Amino acid sequence: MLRQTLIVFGALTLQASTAFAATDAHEASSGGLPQFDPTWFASQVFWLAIAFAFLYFFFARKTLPDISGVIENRRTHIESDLELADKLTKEAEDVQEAYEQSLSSAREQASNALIQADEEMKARAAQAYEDFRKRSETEIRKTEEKLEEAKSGALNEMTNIAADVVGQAVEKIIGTKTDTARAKSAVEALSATNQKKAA
Amino acid sequence: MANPIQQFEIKPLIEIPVGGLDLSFTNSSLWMAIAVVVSTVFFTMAMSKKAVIPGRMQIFAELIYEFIAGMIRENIGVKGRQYFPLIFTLFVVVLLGNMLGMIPYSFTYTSHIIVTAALAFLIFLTVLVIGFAKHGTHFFSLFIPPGVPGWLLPLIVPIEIMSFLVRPVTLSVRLFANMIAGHIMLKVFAGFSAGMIGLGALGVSAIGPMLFNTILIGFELLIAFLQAYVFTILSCIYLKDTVEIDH
Repeated sequence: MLRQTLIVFGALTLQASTAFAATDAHEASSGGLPQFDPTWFASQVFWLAIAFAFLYFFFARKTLPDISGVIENRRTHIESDLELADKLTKEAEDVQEAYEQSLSSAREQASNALIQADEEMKARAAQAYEDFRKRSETEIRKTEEKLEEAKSGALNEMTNIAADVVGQAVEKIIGTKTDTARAKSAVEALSATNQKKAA
Repeated sequence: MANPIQQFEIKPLIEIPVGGLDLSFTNSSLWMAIAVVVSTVFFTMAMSKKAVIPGRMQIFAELIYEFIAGMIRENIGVKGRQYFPLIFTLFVVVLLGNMLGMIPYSFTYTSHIIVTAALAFLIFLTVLVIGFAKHGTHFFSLFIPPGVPGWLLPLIVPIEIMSFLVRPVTLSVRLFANMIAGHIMLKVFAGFSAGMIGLGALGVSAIGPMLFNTILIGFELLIAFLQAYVFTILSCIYLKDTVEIDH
């Protein structure tokens, strides 16, 4: 829309200017747009071709490979940076995984050692208790046996003494010597009946 | 009042007659040479460091590169890479021609029909030569749109051929007309200002056309870029026919 307006404006002013040109003495000779004067067509095309060809080869050989090289270089740079970052992240993850693994295994070991130590201690305590129990039982039994022995020994002694006392009493009372063996059996029989009565 | 078409006059600077041809180095050739120097110096400086992290100039150079690369990718496709230098050069030549023309007292070589026609015929001939070399006679199927009933073909094919042949004409006239119209407008409004100053007390009103000219210059800068873009993108669309024919 704007372009068309411009072109219309241009055409109008062109007409106006050619009217001016007609009145201008020095312009009267050409009487039109310089664009349609074929005098300089060859020169224009020739120099345009040189300029265009020069720029074409300059851009094709130098500028465009330079720019695409830079852009390519930048892309590979960014890509390699990203790759490196990825690799480092992966490495860090591996390290963390290894750390966590070693941590969990250490924890397991520690708990195992704890359980083992606990069991060992319990076993030793049980053993010690058992040993003590056995030793004290035998000790007690021995003491009881000794006590029994001493008791029966003392009883025997008492029988002997009683038989002696009986013998001496009999001698004093009736003046006869008594057989110790008989006296003893008598005492024993007595003590047996006494014991039966007590029971 | 200065003649608004005086700015388009060609003045020979160095006379070079070759046989019957006059190949003189003119003011037009001078501005083409300036465009060549400006673009080579700019791109050489911009790409001197080839930095991974680019500076300002390199960003600008890469921006133009990506702009043209995107244009080719979208309009021709992946196979369009072979035309990259051609399209890039075309864009730079037209853009610099339009832009350098905005400098006062300069010469706008893209406002000359012979220059734009030469560029348009370069594209046209490239399409023809590469099109025939690649597709052979299958290239003619370009003139038969797909899905057209047979009885319409006698009507459609001549129209298609006409529209194909008229491409270089419309391509060159579009750029030429835009440039010439814009530059004449600028000159005419500047002439109004200059004329009004001579009116004594009313001379203050000269500021009116001057302000309008200021807006117009901004508008013309946009047109200068836009026309370079249009010229380049249409060239891409025409070159697409050499790469693949849809039917």
